[in-house]
Amino acid sequence: MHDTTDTLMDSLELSRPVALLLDAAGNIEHLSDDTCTLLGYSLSDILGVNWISQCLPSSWQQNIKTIFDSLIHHDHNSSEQYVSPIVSKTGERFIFSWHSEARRDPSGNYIGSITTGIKIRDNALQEQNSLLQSAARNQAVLDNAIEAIVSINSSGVITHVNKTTEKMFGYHKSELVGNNIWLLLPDAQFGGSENIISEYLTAGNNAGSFTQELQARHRNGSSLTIELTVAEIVIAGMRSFTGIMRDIRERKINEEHLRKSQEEVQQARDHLAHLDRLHIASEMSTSIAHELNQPLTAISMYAQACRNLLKKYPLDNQALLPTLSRIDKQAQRAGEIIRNIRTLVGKQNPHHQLTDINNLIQNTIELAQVDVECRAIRFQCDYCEQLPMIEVVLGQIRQVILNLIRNACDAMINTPAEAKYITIISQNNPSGFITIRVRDRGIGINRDHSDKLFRAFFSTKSYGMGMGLAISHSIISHHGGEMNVNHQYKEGAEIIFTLPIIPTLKGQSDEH
Amino acid sequence: MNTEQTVYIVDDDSDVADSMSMLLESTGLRTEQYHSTEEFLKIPIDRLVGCLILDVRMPDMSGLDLHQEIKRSNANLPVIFVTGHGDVPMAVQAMKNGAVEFLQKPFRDQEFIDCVHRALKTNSEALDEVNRRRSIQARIDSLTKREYEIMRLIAAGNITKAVASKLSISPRTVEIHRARTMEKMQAKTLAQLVQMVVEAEHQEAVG
Repeated sequence: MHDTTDTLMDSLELSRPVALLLDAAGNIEHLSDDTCTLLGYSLSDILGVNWISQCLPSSWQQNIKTIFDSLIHHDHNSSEQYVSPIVSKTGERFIFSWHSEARRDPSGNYIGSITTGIKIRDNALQEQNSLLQSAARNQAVLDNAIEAIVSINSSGVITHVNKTTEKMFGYHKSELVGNNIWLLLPDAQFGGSENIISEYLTAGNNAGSFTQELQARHRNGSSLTIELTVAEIVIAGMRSFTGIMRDIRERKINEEHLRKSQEEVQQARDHLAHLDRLHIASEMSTSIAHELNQPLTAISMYAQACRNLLKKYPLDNQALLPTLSRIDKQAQRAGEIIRNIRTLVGKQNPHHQLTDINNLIQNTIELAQVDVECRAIRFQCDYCEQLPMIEVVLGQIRQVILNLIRNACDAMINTPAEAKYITIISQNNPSGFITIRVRDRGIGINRDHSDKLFRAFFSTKSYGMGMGLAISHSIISHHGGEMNVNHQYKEGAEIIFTLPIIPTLKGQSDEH
Repeated sequence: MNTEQTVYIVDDDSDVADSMSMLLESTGLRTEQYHSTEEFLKIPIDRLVGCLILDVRMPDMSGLDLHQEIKRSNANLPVIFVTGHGDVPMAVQAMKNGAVEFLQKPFRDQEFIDCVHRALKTNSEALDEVNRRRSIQARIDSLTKREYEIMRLIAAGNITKAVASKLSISPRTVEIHRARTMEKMQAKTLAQLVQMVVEAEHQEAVG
């Protein structure tokens, strides 16, 4: 494919394009040697000097400034081709055709520009050279890119590479051009279902562009993890492909570090949550023992009643049946209590499960009512009927609700019996969240404490670790929700937390 | 034992109350169940006969508080506390307040039944005592002023002559009053009469 581009490239070698890097203020960061020589400055003289005011004739400065302003202000990422003279140290003028590209940091802020130019010998040449200028611009951009850029034809033969490709893979340009792309991407050739490039090559129609992560091979045989973006170009019915390859080994390592530290945080959170559950369980153990004793006592007494009935009416089995069913009912009740305790302290399923939040709240209230203090409290529940099921770590959200209920109970110790109410409200928030409000009529939350409320080891109680709310807060954040105090509510305390209807959990990728 | 006696059960746990009731009824006792102290306090507790089984911890009012309430109302109702907590200070307090027993759940059935029987016995003995005192008082009330005066003097250790001289009446008249008093008071010996007077005076001084 000895096409026009090759010819252009050859002529470019002669025409010596210039390239300069400007910073955000338009001061020179770098200038190619040729340009320095042309302008008559040494590199050290010219670095840091403002390009426009130093090197352009004053009558042109305003116009060119407008072009850069348009890059700075995000109107465009690259300028149109423009022509402007430059003035050397000795006052000599050279006419150049220019092209400028904005350089932006990852958040899109303008950090400077790359400007490439080609000298125009006289005005008559300008028309003819515009193609050359465009090619020069492209080559300069290609060579300055941090990505390796490789063009192949429809058989996979490499036709062009940029300088970065040479650096990234350790080959000289001449070793690559004419060779098959599989030299650089051996895995993609034999990767079975991953053989997306082959598919791409053989696909009959324009498949658009795609991006994929894969393993490439350096000249020395080592493996590189790259991100490959391929775009198809069809010129006059000829298909060719340009691949942009970014070395992402460093990014991979960072991702791995990040994933590991997230995992550690996750483990620490799980561990703390478990400690908190054990703490709740130990606080509740007296109540739990009491609660288990109830059905056991009842069973024992029903059994003795049966014996007495048997003595009295030895032949009447019917007399025993109602009592036997009651024994059975009590045994079930004891079993239910044990199941409840196990949901609290037992091994938790750490994965997200599709959960009906209203149902979870109701079950948690029953669990909380194992505690006799809590049984003295009336619950008013206002459930939103149209609540979608959401994916949560069931045990953790149960723990959050239980913590809030227990705090509410504690806050109402001195509330008169008839005013002991906990109100739990679930709402379907139009912004894609489920909102749950837990209100009590207790002593309320001191505004001075509200900023410390969700911190670990902060407690206003004479007992307790001060972990409950901190852990709850962390669990809710991890689920992609928020937990806050509603200071507008004056009859006691109201804690509000939200859970996203579409989970946006970082930890979720673990499950894939 | 008094057949009118009823075992009152106050426990917020209706299943436990039901099982206690069923066990006691299987042994032929009468029971009534209440599932809150509030419900129980609606009935006239000072007139109840029998005993009370009370759960220490209940949501609306603790068993100990209800016990105090019962004592204030002068009801003669022995109380058996049951608890699932085995709370020692609470047991001590309950016994100080005059509870008959303090049982920790789950208890053995025979222990429970024996305990109820003891409480009922305590109740019927107390009832008998009350009745006896009431009947002594009724006898005293049936005496004339003169007979009462003479009984007090005799009980204080005065012989007939001394009584006669103190009241400025003849010893013979004293003898007649004394015989009628002994008859009305149903005292067979002087010692019995003295005992009744002492008890009555003691009652007067107390209540």
